[in-house]
Amino acid sequence: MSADLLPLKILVVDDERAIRRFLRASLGAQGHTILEAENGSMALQVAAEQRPDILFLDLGLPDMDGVEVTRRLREWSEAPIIILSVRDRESDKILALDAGADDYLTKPFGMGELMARVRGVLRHTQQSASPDPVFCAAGLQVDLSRRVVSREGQEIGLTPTEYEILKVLVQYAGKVLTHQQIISRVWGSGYNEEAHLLRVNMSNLRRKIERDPSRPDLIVTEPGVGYRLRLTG
Amino acid sequence: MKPPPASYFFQFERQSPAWRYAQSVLLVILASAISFPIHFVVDAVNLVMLYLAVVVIAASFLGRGPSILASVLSVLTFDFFLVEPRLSFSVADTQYILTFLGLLAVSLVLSSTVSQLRSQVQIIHEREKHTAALSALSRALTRAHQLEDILRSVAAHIAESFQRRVVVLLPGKSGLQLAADSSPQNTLNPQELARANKVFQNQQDDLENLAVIQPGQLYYITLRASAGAVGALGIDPSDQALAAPARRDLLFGFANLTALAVERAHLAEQASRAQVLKNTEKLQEALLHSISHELRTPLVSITGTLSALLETPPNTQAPASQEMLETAYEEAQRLNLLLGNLLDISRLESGSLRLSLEPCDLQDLAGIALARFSERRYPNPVQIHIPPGLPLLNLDVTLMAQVLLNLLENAAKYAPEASPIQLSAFQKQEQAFLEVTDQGKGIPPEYLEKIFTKFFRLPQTHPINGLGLGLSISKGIVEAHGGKLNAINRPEGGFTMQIQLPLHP
Repeated sequence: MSADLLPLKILVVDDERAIRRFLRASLGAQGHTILEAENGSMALQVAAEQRPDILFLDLGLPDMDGVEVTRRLREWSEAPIIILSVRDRESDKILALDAGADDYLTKPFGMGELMARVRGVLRHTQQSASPDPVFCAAGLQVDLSRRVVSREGQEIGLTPTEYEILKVLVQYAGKVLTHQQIISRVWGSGYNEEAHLLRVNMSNLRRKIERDPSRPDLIVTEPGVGYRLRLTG
Repeated sequence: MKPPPASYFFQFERQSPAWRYAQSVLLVILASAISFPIHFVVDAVNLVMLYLAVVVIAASFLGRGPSILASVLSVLTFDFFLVEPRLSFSVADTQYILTFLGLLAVSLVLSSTVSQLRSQVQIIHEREKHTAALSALSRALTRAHQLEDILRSVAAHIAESFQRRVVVLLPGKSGLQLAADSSPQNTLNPQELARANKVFQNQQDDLENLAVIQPGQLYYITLRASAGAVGALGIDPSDQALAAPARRDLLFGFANLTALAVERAHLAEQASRAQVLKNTEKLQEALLHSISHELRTPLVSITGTLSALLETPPNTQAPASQEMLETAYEEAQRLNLLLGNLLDISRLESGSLRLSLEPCDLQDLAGIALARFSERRYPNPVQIHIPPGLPLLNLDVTLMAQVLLNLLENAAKYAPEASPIQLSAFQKQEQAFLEVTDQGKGIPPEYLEKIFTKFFRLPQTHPINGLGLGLSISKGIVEAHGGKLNAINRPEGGFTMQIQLPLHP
């Protein structure tokens, strides 16, 4: 399963020794190098000294809020951050994502899910220099250079807003985007009015591009957080 | 604390009037008895002083009437015994007329001045007593913290000050109830309670009512504090002495003190109850937190480890161990779901569930629930009927998706194996409806309400996984959104769980 991933230097930030241990064992077995930090300040220090490729960050740290760690790290580092949080910290999760974290996973999680997240965020960081102008997934084709969207060869007419939303999702394909992130990229600032517009446009967009809008397999809703364009081809 | 002992001076009210007049006569007789032998030696005029002294004593100790009597008697005896011709009221020397008049005038002025002074001192003394009584009660109330102590203290103090029975009544479940009685062997009959209640409800206390009070009845006044009436005070009105302004002021002073103390006790009780509640909530929060953290943390490691083992290339493992791993992994996930249910129910019950509302498209909501439903590999096909153009609802999407998932899972568990489930949404007036309908045989009507109770299981069903919390959690979540969760046996067969939500909460 890790065949498509080069060996990575991963910083695991969690105050629970058992969690660090199982991550070290299973990620180490896949050939990755594991760095560990048990609190926020240690995480910042290790990150500065060792320059990890990716961070797994728990939100409930003993010394510092995970959101704060994200914010400080983002002042100088672009390394992807995946938030590992328990279920009842939805609002913290969104704060961390808006502060610059790349994705999140709710504990408990399977290693398969975790590695899928890793691939998603790495794909984005590796591609951001020269994004692929054509996105293909589940029968959908989005050609960003020609502004053409088609499904199974059939061109789909989208309104400008729908296209803008889809474009943002394609640009960050595989990665979760918070409502706020999509809104600020499509409409600029604002929230209340746009929060409604986003839902309505998303619903229309799904009717146009999904096979079954009630069982979306392209644009997945991350409840309470935002949306994700699924990567599987 | 007792009022300071009053001197005998000015305390003549304690003696009967007849005795006081008699004393005044005796005083004059005494003065005459002393003067008579002396007047042979000294000039009679000098003995006027002795009679003046008698008048002053009478005015001071015996009151106005006896002192006037003393004045007149003094003049008469002086004339009769001491002025020539003796033993006769006729006067030889006219200069004595002047002495008589002088003696009479001085006596009358003296007696009236002294009696005025006496009544003023009496008022001051009364006030002093009242102030002392009020401050004694207020000191006692400062020391008392329990309502019971306060009331006992009030009844005792007022009863002592007025020397009569005092009761305190506080509102209970059915109107006022006797809370303290200065003579505990007595009780209040229902008619008395009714009278007290009438006063309390109308918040009246006018002393004119004193006149119509029958013997054996008490006079009631309302205890008023800053937040309104807190109870009533009853006092035995016999002998009408309460109508005197000073008495009346004292009684109302006592009533005010009592009302304030009762209110203070109520407030203190409320504060301590709030504190207890706050502590309970804190404890509950701490418990929730520790469940969530302490039990979840090992589960995270277990689930993660099992998933890592499951995902290692299968050729390195025996097929049996693969199956064992799968079982362990699924059970760990089930444990996590049960833990989540327990957390949800305790959050709902402790009121610490916080909704994070956002506009939500019902089709999107259905999509989230369906994705999780199919992850759990139920064989039932779900048919969706959600018309486009339904308005957005303000929901906590995570929680409401969980409700929908619970309903879908219930349908899958209780309906015939692999039978289709309908999921539909519609709008009717100002309400949005989400319905999950299965082809099961429904629920006996007597259980339609009970299925929402915690840990409830339908009798005669084979044991099915779960704690029996799903529906009560769902109901709690829907109600937190201002909606309703209804269970409906369809007349044409099948069973519907219906979520009803206001469009504009």
